[in-house]
Amino acid sequence: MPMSIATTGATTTDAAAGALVNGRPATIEMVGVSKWYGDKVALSDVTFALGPGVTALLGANGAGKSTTLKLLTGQLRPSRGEVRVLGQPVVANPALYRQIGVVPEQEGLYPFLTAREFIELSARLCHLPDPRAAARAALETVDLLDVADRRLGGFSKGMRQRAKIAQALVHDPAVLFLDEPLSGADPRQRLAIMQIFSALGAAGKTVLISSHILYEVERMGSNVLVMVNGKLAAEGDYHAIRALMDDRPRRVRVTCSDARTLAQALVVAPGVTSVALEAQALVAETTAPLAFHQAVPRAAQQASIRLYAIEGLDEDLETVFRYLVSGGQN
Amino acid sequence: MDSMDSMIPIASLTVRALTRSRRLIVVALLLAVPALLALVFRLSASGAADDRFTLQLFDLLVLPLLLPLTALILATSALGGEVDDKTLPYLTIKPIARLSVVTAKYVASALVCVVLVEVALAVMYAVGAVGAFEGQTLGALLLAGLAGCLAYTAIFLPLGLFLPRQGLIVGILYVVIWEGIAAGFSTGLATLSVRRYVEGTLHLGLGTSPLASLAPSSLSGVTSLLVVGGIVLLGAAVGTWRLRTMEMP
Repeated sequence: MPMSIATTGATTTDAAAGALVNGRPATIEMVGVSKWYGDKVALSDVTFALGPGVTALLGANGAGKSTTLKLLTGQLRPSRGEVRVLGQPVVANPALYRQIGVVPEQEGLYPFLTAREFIELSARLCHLPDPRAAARAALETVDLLDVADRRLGGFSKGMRQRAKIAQALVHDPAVLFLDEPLSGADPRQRLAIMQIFSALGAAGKTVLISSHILYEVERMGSNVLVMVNGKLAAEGDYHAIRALMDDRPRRVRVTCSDARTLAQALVVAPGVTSVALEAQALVAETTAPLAFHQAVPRAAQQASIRLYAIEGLDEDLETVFRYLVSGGQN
Repeated sequence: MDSMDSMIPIASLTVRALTRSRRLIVVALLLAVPALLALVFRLSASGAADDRFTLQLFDLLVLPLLLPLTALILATSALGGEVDDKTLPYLTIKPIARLSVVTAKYVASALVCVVLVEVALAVMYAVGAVGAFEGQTLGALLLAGLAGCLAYTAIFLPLGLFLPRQGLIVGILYVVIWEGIAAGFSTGLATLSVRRYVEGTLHLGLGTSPLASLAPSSLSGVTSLLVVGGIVLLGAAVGTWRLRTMEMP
């Protein structure tokens, strides 16, 4: 049984109909929602309410993220409970989709359409008065204008993801549901897309993004929903959840041109409890990750060492989940 | 809220998808068979232009097999293909009534089916009966082809939603076993086959032509047309219901 940890944050949940978030009606609401397929339970008694801003829906594969998003977008019907978006039921309510943008998890696109045709199709289906102008603006937002007349079949995974994001943004919806929208995008594109989502959240849109990479979530906003085994394990401010883990050291792998020399320099850095050497890298444990991340480039520069990569080995959600599931005993 | 504004893009999308699909090659090959047989007939010993042969070709090969297979291949792909390719959410998570989605899909797949079948019938007739041209016979063939495309498309479009992957196999079994074999054995079973009503429209088209005896029908043409219309409405209703209630796993 995963332990449920409620953290303080912007989200407050009221099981009664019409929950309030920060004193305003919730834009996204799930009340006692379960979803099962025969004997298999995909989602179990999930209740939350969200308001405007960016919220990350976190979870490992199979945790229930996609099921939650499909329930919120009417692609699935709850076996029990209620799902409301903008105060309205989602199922069998096509009119509501004028105010909703969705980036589905599925990779499928129409390979014979150009990006422009695909986005214009979306604009037309949303009954926009000037679909061409709207499509152009959406393509520009996701930086696809230069390749707008190329067929989607020839797009890379990252470009297809951006096309999917553009079709979700084209009608300027009040609520956005994005299922792993950054998968396949290169680091530069990821950064640009994250900035788009942050801006949308700041502009008062409700943006719910599923992701399994904490690093990305940190950049987009601080509100999270953490799913573990089909249940809502934690809800609220991301930093509060991370703070729960601050009693245990973080492991960081640094790949560089001279790991041994850098290890000697870092072993005396504040908070470093151990350093182990690998083939072309070192793995350090630190109780002060921020200070460590500042110390690495400084030490590398002083010793004229070239850095290739710095990766947090405990940044994945599995670590958070282990912590949450164990109640902080790990 | 819904209007032609949303149906036209979906229909256009569907026509493009169908005409770019490998299935189109299969359909084209199937529909080339009647013209090839008509050519063989013309080159054979008898060799005389005769539109009775084309009528029999229609009644024995096109109607029970090639026409339903054509509609099956196209219609199951129109919605079932979207389910299989996981592109359906781009149409269903939009402010459009499900009926409009199904109607647009139906119109597009029926249109492609009608164009292909009518061209195939016209070519078959031109090859087999040139020199003995009888406008009424050709008109009857085209009318029956139209009715068959509309009815079979209405049946196979929802099938693609119920069985996106197995729809083709199930449909082939239905066409061969039910429309092809069972309906030919008993009048009672024929009543439950689409083929009978398409034959009724063929008979209607032939009118008082001496060839009408080659395509006997106990049904009036009007009844046949009404039943075909009923099948179209039923197909749209079933498809819409399915699209409303189905889940996207």
